[in-house]
Amino acid sequence: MIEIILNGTKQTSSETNLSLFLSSRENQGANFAVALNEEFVPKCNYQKIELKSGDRIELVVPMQGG
Amino acid sequence: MWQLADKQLESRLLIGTALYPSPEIMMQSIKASGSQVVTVSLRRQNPTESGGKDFWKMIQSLDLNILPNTAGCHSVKEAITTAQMARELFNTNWVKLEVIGDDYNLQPDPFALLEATQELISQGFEVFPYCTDDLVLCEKLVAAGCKILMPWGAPIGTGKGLVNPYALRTLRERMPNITLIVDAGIGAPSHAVEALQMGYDGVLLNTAVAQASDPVKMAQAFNSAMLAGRLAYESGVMPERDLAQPSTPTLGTPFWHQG
Repeated sequence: MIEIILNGTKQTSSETNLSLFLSSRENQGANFAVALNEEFVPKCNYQKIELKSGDRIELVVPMQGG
Repeated sequence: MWQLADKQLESRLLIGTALYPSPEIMMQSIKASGSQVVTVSLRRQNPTESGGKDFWKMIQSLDLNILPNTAGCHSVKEAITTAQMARELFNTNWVKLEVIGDDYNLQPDPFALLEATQELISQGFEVFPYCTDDLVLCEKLVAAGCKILMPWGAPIGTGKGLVNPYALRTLRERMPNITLIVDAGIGAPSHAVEALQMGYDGVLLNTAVAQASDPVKMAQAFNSAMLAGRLAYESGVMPERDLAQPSTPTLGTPFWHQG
């Protein structure tokens, strides 16, 4: 198990691959983008990235804005 | 028609999608405004909500140009990463670049804005910088490659209108080939008219419509204001005079006699 900080909240995960970690959440079908430790991660790189404890993931979705 | 980046547009109004009383009123207001560009943002996904899916579906159904913002960013790094996420999320290289330097009046940080602009342009973004009306900053943004500048009229959400018309007019005179859009501070349609009348290419606003008593009707008012302002600019406003001059011919005035 690793400890991940997802959108500012600590949580544990048995998935260490970013793609699998994201799939394990209920995001399927949602339009989202990801940053890992403040660096943008393009969708095509999700499968290549292995997570480690302490990693900070930002998972963002479209929202109203001015 | 006018040119905004790589697009030919009819409406000179860019409109935000936040703060409306309901999603339905947002949709009706955007349609009534005639705008062809809507601003959107991105935020952390809330697992208990539908993840912005419903909102995004509604916006997509409008089939308009999308201008994502980097609202809330306070550093170059945050702004760049947010812009990169927005490019993938919204499938556009347009970005309304906001880097806030002061939380009290949401004033842009000119130094961080310039640095973020330089980096994002090198990465192929079409940067729409939300900036102050400072001439030197604007010149540096243009030197960095900006074809569009968005100086504020007043701080975001204040509705004060154009608080420094002299500075805005100076920008217009000194930068005749740059697309200039007043972003933020617009409160009433008369403010939009004033901006277009001085030759600004467009106006970006959100609160003025969303927080009006009747947002849909106010959107219509801004739609008309954009037309009035642009026509006034193109037709040439008469020079102001200090002395009165009669509009009715004086020759042949009845009862006239030499005093």
